[in-house]
Amino acid sequence: MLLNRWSLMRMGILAFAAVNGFDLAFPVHSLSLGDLAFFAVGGALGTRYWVFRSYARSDASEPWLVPSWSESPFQLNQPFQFFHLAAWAFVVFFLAAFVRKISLNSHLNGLPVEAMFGAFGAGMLIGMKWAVMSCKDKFTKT
Amino acid sequence: MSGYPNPAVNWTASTLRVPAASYLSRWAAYEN
Repeated sequence: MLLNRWSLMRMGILAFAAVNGFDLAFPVHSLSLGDLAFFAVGGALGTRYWVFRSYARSDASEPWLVPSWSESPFQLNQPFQFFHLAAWAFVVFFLAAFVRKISLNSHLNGLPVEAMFGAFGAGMLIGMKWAVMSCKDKFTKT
Repeated sequence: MSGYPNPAVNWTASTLRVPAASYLSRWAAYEN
């Protein structure tokens, strides 16, 4: 990972997601595994087929960039850069909330709302990996 | 932990929402 202003900014956002996840106490709602699967599948299909349309459009002339920590996440024709950062922020948010739960020794009554963000983020990452694997010859690493 | 809402976390979250929402709306416009 190249250390530049974008990777530093991304790390800053992930650090904030961790603080936020650790700090933010949602009321405990029970979420079933089916609910979580719904968000994960939604995230995966969303990035694979909905966000991916930006790359597949016929007038796209720029190279398709594999999500990278060192790229600007605000490129209109490279939406995976943005969604990759957002997905990791969701996953880190969940992980921090999970660590907090364990450290406070509080019993896990069902799965917390934070897991919904984690499942959605993990699904988004899978969807982007899926798109990159499906079009291996079209995506370029930076 | 200070619990929710923590003003500093709240402020940062709403600040971060600005560039995120701005990007998403520009991307949506670019898409259509």
